[in-house]
Amino acid sequence: MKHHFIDRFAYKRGFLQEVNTGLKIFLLVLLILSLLLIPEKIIFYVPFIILVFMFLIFSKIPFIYFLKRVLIIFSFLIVLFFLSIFKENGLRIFIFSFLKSLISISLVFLFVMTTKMFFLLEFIKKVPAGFLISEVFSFLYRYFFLLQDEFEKMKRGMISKGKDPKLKDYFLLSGNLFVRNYERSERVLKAMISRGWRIK
Amino acid sequence: MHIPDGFLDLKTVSVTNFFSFSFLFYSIKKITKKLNPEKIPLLGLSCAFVFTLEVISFPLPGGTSVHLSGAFFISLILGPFSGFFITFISLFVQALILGHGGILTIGANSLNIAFTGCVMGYYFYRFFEKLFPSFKTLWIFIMSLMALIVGSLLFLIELTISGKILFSRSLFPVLFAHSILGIIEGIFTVSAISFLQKVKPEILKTQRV
Repeated sequence: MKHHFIDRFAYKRGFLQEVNTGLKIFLLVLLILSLLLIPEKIIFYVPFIILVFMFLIFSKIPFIYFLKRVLIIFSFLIVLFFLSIFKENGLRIFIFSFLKSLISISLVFLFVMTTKMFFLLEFIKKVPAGFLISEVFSFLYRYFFLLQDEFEKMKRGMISKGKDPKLKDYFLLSGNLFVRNYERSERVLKAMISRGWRIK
Repeated sequence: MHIPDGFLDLKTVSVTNFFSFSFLFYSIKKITKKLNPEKIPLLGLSCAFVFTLEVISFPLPGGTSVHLSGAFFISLILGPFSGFFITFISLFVQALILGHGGILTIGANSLNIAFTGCVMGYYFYRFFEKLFPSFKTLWIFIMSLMALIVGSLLFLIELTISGKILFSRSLFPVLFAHSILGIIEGIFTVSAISFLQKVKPEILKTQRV
């Protein structure tokens, strides 16, 4: 399977790529927090939208690629739209919440796309109890694509043997994936110890 | 249901984040104190597994698809605190990489998904399992379902407090949808646990924290 690593634009030269990871995280949280606090008037949202576009241009991120990723939010917002419209002024409330959501997700993606995963993990290590978080985070990032591929392979194997997988088969495949994962964790531990990893 | 940023107000965000981060640090303290450090790779790979479960779409009859949470399943294997920790990290990475959920709503999302699935589901399961040990499979199914229903109720409460929805109007559709998801999650947890019991029962004897 072909995977798109989200930090691939972090290796380009651009404005956000040059900013320190800690400062970027601080700015990200500050911007999303200020979005929560601004009044529901369109004029207050304009600076944020301009900021997103400026970051996009100066960080050299392809607009279409960025848009494709951001549009994923619509699948979540459909449900929230149908829940909001029952309320008085529901549509207005939804539109402003939607704007906040769209700007927030754009900022998050801009941040992630321009930050090398290694720098992010290094930063997490520095926060309280960060060692365990960064270890688990790095395992997740390292093995997630592999597990997805493995699941696909098992599914293809099932189909090639003439079995059209039903929901129950998918559950058994997931169980099987966990067993493989468990066995892999034992091998990984041995490999880590043999490479000098010491338990802290 | 992941809540994106922008849908919760400041007080809901503050309360849910305070609760979830306090519980996260408590869980980390428990894990570092009690868990054998050799289990860290297992913890990491289980996190990747939960993440994969949440990303893979399982086809349903009629052309729709669902994704599983796996929170209760993982807590049955690794314990409630490890389960909460793993699911929290998985939710955080989902918000960062995939845009499922939000950065400031991580507290609410982990309360709705990780806390209900891993902590509440696990302890209620243990309580009922001791009370009626011959109905283990039934309790696994019921607790998977209940975790999702309680999670969806919390989801509604958080959005109602934030002034985004009307609780009374949203209750039925949300509960209905989550009950179906809960049944699917319940069947998954029961099938996966019985599969592990048959194929590799030692997994179910892993140290739980």
